Amino acid sequence: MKKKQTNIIFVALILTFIAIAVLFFLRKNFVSENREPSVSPADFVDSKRHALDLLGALVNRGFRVRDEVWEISLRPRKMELLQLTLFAGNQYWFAVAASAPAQRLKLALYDDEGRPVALDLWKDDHAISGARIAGGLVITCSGNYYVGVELLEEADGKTVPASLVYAYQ
Amino acid sequence: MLVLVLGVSCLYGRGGDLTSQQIKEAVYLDGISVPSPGEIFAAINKRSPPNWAMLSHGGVAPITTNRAQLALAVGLLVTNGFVSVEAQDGQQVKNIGRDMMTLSKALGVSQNILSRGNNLIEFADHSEWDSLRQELEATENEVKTTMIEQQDRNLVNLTSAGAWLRGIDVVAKIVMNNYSSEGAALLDEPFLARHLAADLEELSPKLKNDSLVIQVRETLIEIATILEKQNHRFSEEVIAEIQIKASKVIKAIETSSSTKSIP
Repeated sequence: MKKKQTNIIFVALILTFIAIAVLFFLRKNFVSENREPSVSPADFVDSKRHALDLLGALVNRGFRVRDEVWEISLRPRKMELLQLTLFAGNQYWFAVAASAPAQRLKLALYDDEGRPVALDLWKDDHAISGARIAGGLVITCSGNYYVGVELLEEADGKTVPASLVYAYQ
Repeated sequence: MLVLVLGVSCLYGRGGDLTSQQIKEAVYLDGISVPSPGEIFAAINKRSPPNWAMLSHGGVAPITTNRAQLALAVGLLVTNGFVSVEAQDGQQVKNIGRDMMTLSKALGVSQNILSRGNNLIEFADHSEWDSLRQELEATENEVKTTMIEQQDRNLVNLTSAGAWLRGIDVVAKIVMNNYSSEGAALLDEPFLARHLAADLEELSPKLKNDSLVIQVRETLIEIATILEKQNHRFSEEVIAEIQIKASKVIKAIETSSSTKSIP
């Protein structure tokens, strides 16, 4: 009788251990799928198009758009920064677009020592599904700068594909 | 308490400032972080437009099997293309377009840029200067993308270095002809020079130890060091020193007799 009880306890312990292992495995996969979904190159197509649309009107005013696009996987409330060299006398416009579920973006510029530089901001958060923002300025000191992009609001905490393009004149 | 607050603000930056950690983690992307020659030329034109025709020359596409030299020469040609566009010299742009195709074929990266070469010729024929600027940058990016696709990422860094050095050479010549401290400040790019030199440090041992690559890397470090010492103010003598260094290495890229093949 005592031996039978010991066997039952032993089997119960093994089953409990297996159940915990299965739960741990499922939780790990569940969290990785929902918090850190992979962003493929195809996911940037819309954000790139929307960002370029923002600068389209400037081309008619003599601005030249850089050929390369910065593709960013934005996580909520984590600023991503890109290094740039900007030249005094030139006027620059930076445009960022993020696909849904992005709802609000922040765009900022910093000098070589990390101090904020004022941008003339243009926001258009509700014209497309997702969010867009643009900022422009005339540079007074040539040198190294950092352009920052941050996702302030999103629908469900997911990583969001965003694109930044810039134009100069 | 005040000391504690000041200490924290020094560590983490003033309100709204970036922290040193954020600056350290900032992304550097070759296609955006390295400015297009058109950007610095636009800034120059706003101050006092130089005689671009005097600066325009196609340059010699070196006949060599040295892949490092070919990649560096592609960069020189891209900047020469921008100079020719500023000079509105359509024939020179077409010559440069053909030279770029020749070098791309020698590098084995021409398959995707044949249409780009045709576009350059067509835009030059119709004097579409803005389209030419766009196409030159797109052609450079196309060459670099093909290099990456063919596992030749190393060559991208060399092309960027070549383009930047020729840009510095051109701007320094312009500033020397009509000196102003504001014009000289356009050369305030020590960070970029250091970054390009560091990229060459990461090349494969075969490329890294090529004599021309060593010369380019040393020139970039020398230029960065000179610029860093000036505290954002550059005299005519400093500009002349930078121009001589850039010009010397450009001549080596254009005329080097090295024919050593690097697979």
